Amino acid sequence: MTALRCTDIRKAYGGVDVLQGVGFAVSAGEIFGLCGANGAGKTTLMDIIGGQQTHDTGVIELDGRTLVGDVASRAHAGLARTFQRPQVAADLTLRENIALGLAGARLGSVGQLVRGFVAGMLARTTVAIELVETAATDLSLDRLDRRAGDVTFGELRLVELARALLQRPRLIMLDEPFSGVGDNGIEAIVEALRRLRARGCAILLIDHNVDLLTALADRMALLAQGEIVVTGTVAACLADEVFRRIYVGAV
Amino acid sequence: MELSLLVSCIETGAFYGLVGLGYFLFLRATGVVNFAMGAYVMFAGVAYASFSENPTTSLGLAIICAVSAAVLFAWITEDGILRPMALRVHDEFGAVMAIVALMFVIEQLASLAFGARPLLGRELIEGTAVIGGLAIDFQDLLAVAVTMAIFAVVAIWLKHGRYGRMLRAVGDNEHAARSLGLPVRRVRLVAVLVTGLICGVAGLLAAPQAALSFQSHLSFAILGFIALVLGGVGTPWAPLVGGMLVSAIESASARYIGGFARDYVLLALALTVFSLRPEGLFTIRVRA
Amino acid sequence: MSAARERATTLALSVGFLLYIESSAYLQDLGTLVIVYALLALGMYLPLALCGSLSLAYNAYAAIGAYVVAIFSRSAPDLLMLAVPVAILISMVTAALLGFVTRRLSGFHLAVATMMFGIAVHTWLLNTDAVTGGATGIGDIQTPVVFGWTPDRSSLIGLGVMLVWLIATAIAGLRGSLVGIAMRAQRESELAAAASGVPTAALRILALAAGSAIATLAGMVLALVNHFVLPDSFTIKLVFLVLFMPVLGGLATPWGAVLGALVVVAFTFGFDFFQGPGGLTFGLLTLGVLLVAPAGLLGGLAALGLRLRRGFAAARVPKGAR
Ligand SMILES: Nc1ncnc2c1ncn2[C@@H]1O[C@H](COP(=O)(O)OP(=O)(O)OP(=O)(O)O)[C@@H](O)[C@H]1O
Ligand SMILES: [Mg+2]
Repeated sequence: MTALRCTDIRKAYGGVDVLQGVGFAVSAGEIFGLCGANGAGKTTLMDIIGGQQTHDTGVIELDGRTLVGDVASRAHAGLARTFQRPQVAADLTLRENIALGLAGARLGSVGQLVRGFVAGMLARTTVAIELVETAATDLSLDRLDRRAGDVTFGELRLVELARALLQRPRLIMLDEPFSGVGDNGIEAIVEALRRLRARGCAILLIDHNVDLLTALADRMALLAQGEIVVTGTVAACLADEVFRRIYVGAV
Repeated sequence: MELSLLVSCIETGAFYGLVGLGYFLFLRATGVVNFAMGAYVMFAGVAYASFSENPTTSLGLAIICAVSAAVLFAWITEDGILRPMALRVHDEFGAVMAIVALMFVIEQLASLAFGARPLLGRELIEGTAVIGGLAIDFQDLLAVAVTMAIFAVVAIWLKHGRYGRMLRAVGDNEHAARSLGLPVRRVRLVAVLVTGLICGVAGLLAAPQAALSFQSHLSFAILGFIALVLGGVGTPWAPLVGGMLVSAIESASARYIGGFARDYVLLALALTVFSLRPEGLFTIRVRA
Repeated sequence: MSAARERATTLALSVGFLLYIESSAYLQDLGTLVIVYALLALGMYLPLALCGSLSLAYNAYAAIGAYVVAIFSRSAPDLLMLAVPVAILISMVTAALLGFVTRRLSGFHLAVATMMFGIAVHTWLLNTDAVTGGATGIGDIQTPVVFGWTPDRSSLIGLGVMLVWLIATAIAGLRGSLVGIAMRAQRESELAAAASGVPTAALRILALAAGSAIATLAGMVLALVNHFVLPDSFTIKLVFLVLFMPVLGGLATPWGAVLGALVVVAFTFGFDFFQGPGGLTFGLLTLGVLLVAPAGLLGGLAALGLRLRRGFAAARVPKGAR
């Protein structure tokens, strides 16, 4: 079943074409690897899907429905993501940053917001500590009382991923989730992704590390000059002339 | 009669535009909407009025004191408050709070130094010109001429001046400007000091027009801000257009509704602009 | 401190405060001032410390509370209790509207819009004699009858203190709740909060509306205890005075706002604060706290307590163990 389908996405920044008609689809329970050189437009594509950027033309569908609206409403439609430069609230603890994923998931409508507000004032909501702790432990994170501003870059990536997992997404998009992460962390992320896949979540994965990407992904695509030049199963990509020349050869 | 109303409307508009230009430069340089700027203007104006009250004081000395006070406040804002604050606070919250506190400090300083009584400054030049049967004070002509000159100089400076051109780069993206090796800190400081200078001159021009007190700064800050938002930040001339518009709306409302309605009309104006045309006018620090 | 212990401690302190001001009418006057300022400071604290939204219309919200009570007492004394929800509703709708108009703009836009609203309300109070009594305000405000009971002055003040305790405790609870986390997170990283599904603009508007409701209560307490309202109690000066309280007390907990109110009243004895160098000192102090001691008074106390406890712990370790 197709979870995410992008059709003919175009985007120009001040006259410079970055994406020139990108189309691809990711199925539920599939890891889709997206690679391409620096500045190829991978992050831009992710921003467009997530709603952080506008696009000029093209259609994005999630589970058959057109994805429109602001970032938060897309999250409620089943989208979660991490950022190439981890985005966290530096003054909050790791625990609170991870719990943000729960907060987002539970604060969709105005009614939920008001109810959550009143419940908070009456000290009736116990932040579901176990959920947060489990998500953190699964990703080899500990000492959750530290300020997010005080931990390493790699740990912030794990915090972001834990936060995204708590949103229980239908589609998760990870922008270079392995860069800066230690070996333990990488193993934990790989495990988490396999579990997600088994649960039927669609995963869109950007990374420069071709070995990791090919080991993990079910299918892949190569973005170059604003278009997807090669796409298919990992084996097919690795066998492809163009892919080998542009990507593998370059690394 | 009608014509003299027009003259005073243009003059007031020029003043609002000048304060708006101060906002414009400060925002460009630091990303902060500095509404303590009204207080710089007020302090310079009240200081000038207070010194010039004594007929034996030389005007030159009064002018220098008033303008340097405004420049000093601008410098303190940048080097004493905003930069240290930016090192610690990640959101704009710290800057907003500090600016409000500073505005209050300058207000209180003015009331301590010059008293609470409204003061009227001496005219910078005396005499009256008769143009087409209408008597216009030289002072009014001077105010409009100086304002136009300042706008022209700033526009040329931003286009051709060394720091002016760098300021545009800094305003567009401070991070990128820094990685390009531009002296960001110096560029910011120069722009901030120019802002202080403009505010000082604005205070001088305002002081002979109406009696100023230490509380006048709020309306300066508000009207200058509306002038900026109304005009936009596309070109340095925009605040002048905005200032003229604000002044026209203000005097029309005073004429057709009544003086008491000024606060309501300005509020309505600000809310309308904020809801209908904020984007495109502001490109810096606007929430996505 | 655990939440339960914090609640017990602050409750005990509140009762102590109440008993202390019971002793004289003069202290009761000062106590009322503390209650009013504390409620205003708490109303400011909620959007400011949790969402980072600075609203400067608190004089207007307090005025709405005070004047709606006064007008009900004059025109429909039997329905005086109704003034409470009516005033709160008016304030919340206005606050939400001002927040909505500036929802995509910077915090500076919000500050300017709310400041203009506060100024316009004061002008309106002065110039609409038929409704507000103009410069002389409205007097002879009656005491409401609550289920057959007419509270006297002491009881009203007691209720006020309890109100402060309840609201501060509620805001403290909110800080750690999911909504509180979402609020604080969006303040620092709107990108992260929105991507997690937090409706950031709606959250900010909600906080602004709730803050305005609390400030409205402050106005009501003022009107009910004093039995009169004057427009000049609600100038923009009030906003500056109140704004600095949470900063001085410390932004990490709502009790900082309450402490700030207490300190200000204790140091000025309720005299007009902005006569002479008081205002300047106060402004400079606030700037100083913002720049060098952002944790405020309570934060400083907490750090001191921690250091003392560490010191004791270190002293208790036997020499050989080092
Ligand atoms: N906000 C922006 N304004 C203008 N140009 C931009 C903007 N964001 C990205 N670009 C440009 O768009 C192009 C694509 O950038 P993008 O970040 O999507 O690339 P990427 O494939 O993610 O690269 P990397 O592997 O380095 O992360 C780049 O040339 C970049 O300079
Ligand atoms: Mg990228």
